[in-house]
Formats: sequence, C-alpha cells, structure tokens
Amino acid sequence: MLELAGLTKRYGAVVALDGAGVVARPGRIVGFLGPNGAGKTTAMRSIFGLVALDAGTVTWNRKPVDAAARLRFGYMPEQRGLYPKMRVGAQVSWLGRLRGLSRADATRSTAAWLQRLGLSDRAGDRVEALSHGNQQRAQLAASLVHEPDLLVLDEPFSGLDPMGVDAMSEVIRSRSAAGATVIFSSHQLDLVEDLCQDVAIIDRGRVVVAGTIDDVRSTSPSRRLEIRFVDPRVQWEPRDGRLIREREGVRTYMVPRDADPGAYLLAATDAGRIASFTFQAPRLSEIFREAVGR
Amino acid sequence: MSAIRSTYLVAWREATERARSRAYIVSTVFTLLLVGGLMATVVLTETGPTTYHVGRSGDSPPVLVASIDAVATSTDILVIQEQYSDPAAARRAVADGTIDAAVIDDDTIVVQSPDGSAIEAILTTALRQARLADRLDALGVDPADIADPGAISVVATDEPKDDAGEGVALVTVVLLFLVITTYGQWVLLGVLEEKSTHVVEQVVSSTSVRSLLAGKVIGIGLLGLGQLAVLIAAAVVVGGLLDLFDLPSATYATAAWSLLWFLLGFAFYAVMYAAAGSLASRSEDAQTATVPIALFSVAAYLVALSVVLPNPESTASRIVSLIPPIAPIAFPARIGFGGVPLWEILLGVVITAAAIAVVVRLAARIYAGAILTAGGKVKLRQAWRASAELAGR
Repeated sequence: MLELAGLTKRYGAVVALDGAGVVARPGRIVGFLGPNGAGKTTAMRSIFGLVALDAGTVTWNRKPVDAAARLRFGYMPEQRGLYPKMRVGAQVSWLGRLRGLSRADATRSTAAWLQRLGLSDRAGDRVEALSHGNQQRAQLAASLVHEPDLLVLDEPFSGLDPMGVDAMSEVIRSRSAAGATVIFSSHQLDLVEDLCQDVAIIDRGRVVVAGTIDDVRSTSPSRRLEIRFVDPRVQWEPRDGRLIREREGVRTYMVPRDADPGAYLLAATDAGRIASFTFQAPRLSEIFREAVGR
Repeated sequence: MSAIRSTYLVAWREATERARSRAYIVSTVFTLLLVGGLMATVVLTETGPTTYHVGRSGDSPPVLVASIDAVATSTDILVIQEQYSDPAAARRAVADGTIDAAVIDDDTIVVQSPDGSAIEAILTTALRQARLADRLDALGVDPADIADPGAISVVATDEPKDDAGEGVALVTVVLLFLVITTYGQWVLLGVLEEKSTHVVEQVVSSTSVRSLLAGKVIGIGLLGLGQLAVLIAAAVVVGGLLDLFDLPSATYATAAWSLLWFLLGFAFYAVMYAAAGSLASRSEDAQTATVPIALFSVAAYLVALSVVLPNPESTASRIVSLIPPIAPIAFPARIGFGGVPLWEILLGVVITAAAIAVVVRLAARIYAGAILTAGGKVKLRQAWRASAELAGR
C-alpha cells in the first residue's frame, strides 16, 4: 500500500503541494486528477524522492520509502526521456538491471515486453529513430521491465491514438490484476471512470475529493437531473437547480443531493409533457468540475 | 541493490555505448595521428642527418683529408670521404645525390643547392685550413709549430639539458591536456544530455544521484585511459620495434606515470565539468558554465608549456607543479626530462588526491542539487541548497 500524507512543497512564492494525501492499494487502480499545475506531478515525483518535500511522508507498506523499496517501483515521468542514441532493447534491459534484475532476466523480460507492446522488430533501433507513439511504448516497457509492485504513470495517455489508448489501458489493467498497485494521472475523465476503482482529485496542492469512484459519486453533494420535454419550448426550472448543459432538447441540471426526485417529477409534469427523466449520482467529470470550482 | 552495483552499471553503459560511437573512434584515430606526427617531428628535428658523404677530386691540398675530419669532429658530425679520379664524375655524384658535396682542386666546393647547410660550412673551413697549411709549408714553416697549443674549455652557466627528454615532455603535455579536456567535455555533454532529455528522472528513480555521477565519470575516465594507453603503447612499441625513433629511456617511466596523472587530472576536471553540465539545461548555457573550468585548464597548460618545459627543475617549476590543477600536466612533463626525485612525485600525487577529494565533494553536491531541477539555468546557490534537502538521494 502506498500512502502519501501531508505533502507540502513550495517553490518560492508558488505552492505546489499544500498538505496533499493519497492512498493506493494493491490490486487497485487510482486515477489522479486535477487541473494543470494542481500538484499531480510534484506528488508523483515525491514518491521517487525526486523532489525535496517541505513536509509530509511517503510510505510503502507502512514504512518510509527507501532505495530498496524504489527498486520495486516503476515510473513513467511526465517528461518522457530515454537515451536518444541508445538502442531500444539495450536501454530497456539496462534499466531492468539498474532495478536489480540479472542480465539474463533483464534480457528475457525486455524481449517479452517489447513483444507485447509490438516493438519487437524495433529493439535494435536507436530510440531517436522511433515515432512519438513508439517512444511512448518504449517508455512504458522501461517502467514495466522489472514487473514492479507499484506503477506510477504520469499522463500515460497523452499523445496516444485510440489503439495506443487501448493497449495502455490493457497493460494497466493486467498489472493491477496481477496484484500491483497502480496510480496514474490523466485529464481524460471518461477513461479514468472506465479504468479506475479509486480516484483522487487534487486542486491547488490539496486533495479535495478521494475514495472509490462509486463512493465519490454517491457522496457527492449534488445530483444530476436530466429531463427532456416532448415540446422543447416548455419553460421549467428545478428548484435549487443549476443548468450545466442543454443539448438536443435534453437539459442537465445539478441539484442538491437530498432533494426529492418525486417532487421534481411532479412539478415538471405540471409544466409540460415529459419525454424522459433521470435522477442519478453525477458523473466523474461533473464532480471534477464542481470540486475544482471552475 | 548496492551503490557499487548501480555505479558499475552506469559506468558499464557509458563505456560500452561510447566506445562504439563514431566520436570515440574518430577521436582515437585523430589523436593517434597527432601524436605520431608530433613524435616524428620532434625526433626528426632533434637527431637530423648527422652523416655526410663527401667526394674529393683533382689537385686538392694533401692535408685536406685530415682537415675535413678535424673540422667535422669538432662540430659533432661524421663525414665519410671518397676520392674520385675524375672531377666530372664527382659533379655527377653530387647532382644525382650519391654524395652530399664534393671538393674539386683547392678552390671549388660542389653542392646540389646552395642552402648554407652544415656541410658547406665544414668544407669551406676545412679547405681554408688546408690552403693555409699549404702556404705555411711553402714558406718553410711547419704547420705543427704554430698549431693550437692547447684545448679550449667551454663553461655553461645553465645545467645541462636533455634535449630528447624535452621532446617527450612536450608530447606528454600536449597529449595529457588534450585527453583530459576532451573527456571532461564528454562528461559535460553526457550530463547535459541526461538532463535535457529528462532521462535522468527515469534513471534516478531507481538509483542514487551520486551513483549516476560516479558511474559516468568512471565510465568515461576508463575510455580516456584506454585511449591514452593505446596511444602510448603504439608509440613506444611500434617506435621501439621498428627502431624508428631513438627514444630516451625516460620515455617508459613517463608513459607509466602519465596514465596515473591522467586519472588524477581527469578526476579533478571531470567532476567540475559534471557540475557545470548539471547547472545548464541547454548547450548554450553549458558553454557559459564551463568558462571558468576551461580557463583553469588552459592556464594550467600554458604554465606547463611556459614555465616547466623550458626549465623543468627550476624552483618555479617545482613549486607550480605541486599546484593541483597544474600538477597532472606538469609532473609528467618533468618526469619526461628525467631526474625528478620520487618523493616529490609522491608529494604531488598526495596533494592532488587531497584536492580531488575536496572538489568531488563540492561538485557532487552542486550536481545533486541541480540535476533534478528542471527548466532554465540553475543558480549555484540554489543547487547548493537544494542538495542539502535531497540529502538522502
């Protein structure tokens, strides 16, 4: 189990982390969300000791993270980077050895991962000769070659085409199914909702929402009311509601969680003939927008 | 995993990846050519042609043979003489290069081109003396009576200098300076590459910053040492086997010591280059950051050339060669001349090693603080402080 608690980091006048805390458990995938500059990358770098925290702790299985623990971690940094002139296979294998694999194991594992990610025939090419998407795959292989117990991926989906997204999702799922703890950051909220069991939303250096996706949705202070009238000209507003979207006659409102859906339905029926009506927990993207307040 | 294993892996990567690079192969060949050329020039200009073949023909004075020998001996040159029956044959022999010069009768010296060479002077002087002896003889004076009554001694105000040693010393100074700065630059560029491509994050996420620095310096240092060893072996072995160069005996000691002094000099400069590289994130910034180091090493080189080479055992030379940045270049030069007491060399090694220990600590701290700080130029003070906070890495 990875536990980040009370992380604080200031760069001069800029506050990158302001007491952020996140928990990630084995066999589960945590989606780490937040607007640009919220502190996601700084928090992830702190797991690897790449940033000097002003305060806070990073523990792995209830012990402070040390060099030995980090050998079992895999990391895909936000700023991708491999040695441009080194050959793909040699580089992935070398990074495996650097995390404690024997030469033979590193070679075997490298071949297996390159095969799985469709890079087998590029193993002998220099990294700089690969396309952006293939460099991203090589990067993923580099973070997986030692089959880590903790996988930390900073924006793994950025810049990938739909096939790349599928391949990346499949790898993340399978590592999690194998018992690894996975945490990744992303702006693709539908993907996160689809892939993750847990979610943490960070804003201005603080974690504002955290928990399982189901909990986060059900404990949200808002509910999502979606209504369509047969005659789209019907004028009706739910009490205490806020219109967030209107498209093709379907109006979506956020209303208080404790509001009575029956009362809304009755009031709407009075206003006009209803074609459809739903009342449910909000989507992750709606929770995100509410949480970061913009 | 131990720090030693990760340092070894980093060093292994540096050495194997770079040994295969075109830059390494080109630089090895280039240095080989440079050293070969330098040695050939030094040896050729110092030993030069010391033997001349001279022909005689016609009615030359009888004492000419002895006179030529006497003058040649006094100028430390060997002259082999041959009698030609026919002046035309002697002229032809000069023209086609069989002999260097010919004396015909008592008034003509034949050379291929009038270039004022040593043999012209020798023959002119010898011929004058022979004619003078002839005249004295005609006047009834025995030349032996007015011959030089005694030897003339030459007293030098300077200590005698080993000329061949100077050649070896010059080659050593140029070579060491070249190799140390070349490989120091490689460290700089390597650090810069890791930082600008962000690969450092990936590497440091699983090893320590210090292992990365140590491995890089050791790996590149071994390449430099290998190149230097190849150069020295090629020069000494090939030169010795083919008897191309008349190498002074101090060469072998100089070669062995040079390898040790390369390691010391490289360690001293390479960690400074690494620190400079870590402060920059673009190569333009790196050039600025290396200016102080470049000034340092060029100054050391110039001091070695201008102070130590002309006068290797003067007090000034002995003092400057103990200064750590200069020692790795100055000591091998002095050893090249021969006659440096062992205790002085060992003292130089100890002082330089102590200086390296200090420089490594300072540079490693700057490097550790700066290498993970992304974006733009990092200020020295900022790196220094950041490093204190990252103490565990």
